[in-house]
Amino acid sequence: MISLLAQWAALALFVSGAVSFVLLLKGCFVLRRYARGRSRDESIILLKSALMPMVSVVAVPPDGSRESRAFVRRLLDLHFANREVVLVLEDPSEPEFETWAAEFRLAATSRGAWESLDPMRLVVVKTKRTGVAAAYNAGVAKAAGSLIAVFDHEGDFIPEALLRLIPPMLQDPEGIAAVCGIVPDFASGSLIQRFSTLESLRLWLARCAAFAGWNMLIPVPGCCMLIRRDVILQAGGFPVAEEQPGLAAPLELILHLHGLARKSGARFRMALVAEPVSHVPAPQSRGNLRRLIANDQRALFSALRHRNSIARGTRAIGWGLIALAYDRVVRPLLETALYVLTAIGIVMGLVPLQVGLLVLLCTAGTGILVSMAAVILRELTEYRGSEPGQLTRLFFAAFPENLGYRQMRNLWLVGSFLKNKTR
Amino acid sequence: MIKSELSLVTAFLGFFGLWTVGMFVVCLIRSASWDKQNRMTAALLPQIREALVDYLAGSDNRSRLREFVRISRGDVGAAVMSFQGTVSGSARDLLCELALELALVHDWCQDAHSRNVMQRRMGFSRLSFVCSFEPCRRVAGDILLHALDDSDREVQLSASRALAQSGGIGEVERVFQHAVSGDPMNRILLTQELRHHAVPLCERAIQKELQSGDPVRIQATLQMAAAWECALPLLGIGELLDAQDRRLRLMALRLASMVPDSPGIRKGILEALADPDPEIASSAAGAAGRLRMEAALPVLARCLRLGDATLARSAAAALADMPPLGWGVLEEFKASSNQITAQAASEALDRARGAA
Repeated sequence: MISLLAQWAALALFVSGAVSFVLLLKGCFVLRRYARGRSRDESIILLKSALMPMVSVVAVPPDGSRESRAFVRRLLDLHFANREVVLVLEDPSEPEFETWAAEFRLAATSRGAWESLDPMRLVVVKTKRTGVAAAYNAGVAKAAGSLIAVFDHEGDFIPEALLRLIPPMLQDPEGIAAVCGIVPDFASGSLIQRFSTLESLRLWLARCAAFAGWNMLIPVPGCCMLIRRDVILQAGGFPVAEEQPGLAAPLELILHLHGLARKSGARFRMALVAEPVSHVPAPQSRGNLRRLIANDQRALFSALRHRNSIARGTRAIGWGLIALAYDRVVRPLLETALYVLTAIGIVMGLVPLQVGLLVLLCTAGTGILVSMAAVILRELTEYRGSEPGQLTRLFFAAFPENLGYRQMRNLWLVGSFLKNKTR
Repeated sequence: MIKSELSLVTAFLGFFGLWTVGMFVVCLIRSASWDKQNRMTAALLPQIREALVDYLAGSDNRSRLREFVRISRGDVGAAVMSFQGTVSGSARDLLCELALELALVHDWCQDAHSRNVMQRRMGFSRLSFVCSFEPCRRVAGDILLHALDDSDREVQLSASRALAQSGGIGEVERVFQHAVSGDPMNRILLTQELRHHAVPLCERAIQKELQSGDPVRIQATLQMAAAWECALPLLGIGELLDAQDRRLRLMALRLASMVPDSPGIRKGILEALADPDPEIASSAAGAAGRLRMEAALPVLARCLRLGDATLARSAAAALADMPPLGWGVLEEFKASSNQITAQAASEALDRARGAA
């Protein structure tokens, strides 16, 4: 009985591995099509043009720390002729607000907000701590721009990010209501960096490109987004409250917008800008890698927990959210349980060694090939090749990734899921 | 059963593994060849550029350039194009003449007919540079005009740019219509190219669009005209200052100071300054400043005193454009208890005095 159960579970995991490959392949085709249609860089003309729409960058920093202030500084340094930064502070303490006011030379306005006296367009809004979604909504309400930009704190974005993000919206202003820009970091230094790169390659090809091909694109960690303000307002703003700033609120908003469009048959499309506008730097340590995975898990879990506030709930992007839940929760849980069950079964003599081999082939074996395929398919998306040494290092990193790290990552994913569930 | 499952899975993984390794080898070879090509280009390009600089400086020795063309036509084409933003006038003509002599222009014309969109794009982007030189234009013939109907937007754009640079007024008008009816991205990219033809376009094409009655086309036309930021012999803007459509009104206000002055325009600006919409009032303040409308001083002072930071800055900037009365008002508001008013007045005054 245990042997049969293990065999079926192993085969199910093999099929899910095959589906992962199909997603990667789809992502590769989408990115190749994108590379063919990519226009040349016209950033200089866009920067100088008086015809550019106004963009309001809305930021909700978690606190008044130096990192948060540096993040806002980077937002203020974005190259774009017609933009403002709307900073929303959730119930800041008196000393915390003083720090912000001193750093950016804030002065109260007659509109119930604060503006910088320096020659930069910074609007600061104070709100009660009623959740990040409410804070974003306050920011959108104060924003003067017709486009709202949101940057994930985890991402390392370039100053020209807005100039690179906006072209799809200018080319199809009616059809494309939002854009999301991200590329994977192609670091191949330490083993941890290589694992992180493989992970981000899979995420980029499947969750970004393939999902974009099926109009199911949702924000991913480290991305930057542009969303039409009127679309946000028509949807009633950011849908639910989340306790901590991060990716959760924008993710739930985009899911809600997808869900509303599918429900009413209206047009909503979030386009992918697969250009180096933003990326998550490959972490140097295991702890940082674990933190990144946990943050992504928290955002997804938050969307699932608040599914009732999102139009069409778990079917907001068709089968996409369910597939993500399977990949991030069910598969790691099943795989971990299968390893334990098979090991115990083999020790007790209930499971033949051949089943152990089957389990290994269906999990680690398939994983190795899927990771290797991700490296190759990413290479095929570009019309120019990468550095051969880097390519080789990443290709062969698939072995240690699936023979040790994969199992540890499963435990992290399950642990993060349980932690979020009990919160 | 386990044996058959195991062999099935092994067979699948084996096949998949073979494909993966095969593709990896292909990618590796591709990477290596790309790497080699890059290194060759990196070594060749500075030498070609040096030879081109010598040629532009008056050297008549073209054998070296012919040798480069023999080694890598693509790199010579890239090197010629790298001068795009740096040469003009006779130097540009010399470069175009050289491209024609080395038969590069003929290559690009062939590329322009290619079914491969990437090649076609490259051909048109290079032709758009050299077609400002009449002999090159003659070689290209009607290719550019036909390319306005190409399925690829990048090709359309390159052709539009080339026609805006070297075409007659009929062709320029066609490019203008293409820009007005195209998406905002197209419009933004073509606006600067069409700026040189602003005056002839005002005579017929722009008036025709303004009278079309289509608010989308009117707005696009006004946007382009305002973005040119130059004096325009354009009539009919006064009527648009009272338009119901807020966007048209904003655009008309931006244009108000660039078109021939009239009592209707001044009245429209004064009314807009009192508008509760801060963006309209800000635009009106800008126009009042540029026209140095002393009749607007009281309303501008009110905007500076009561408006938000953006409106206060616009009003202060407008007052700074109107010395001595405007400066007097700013001097008065420098000591205001309203921090934003005081800051805006002080900054505008400092800037104006610095400029004076």
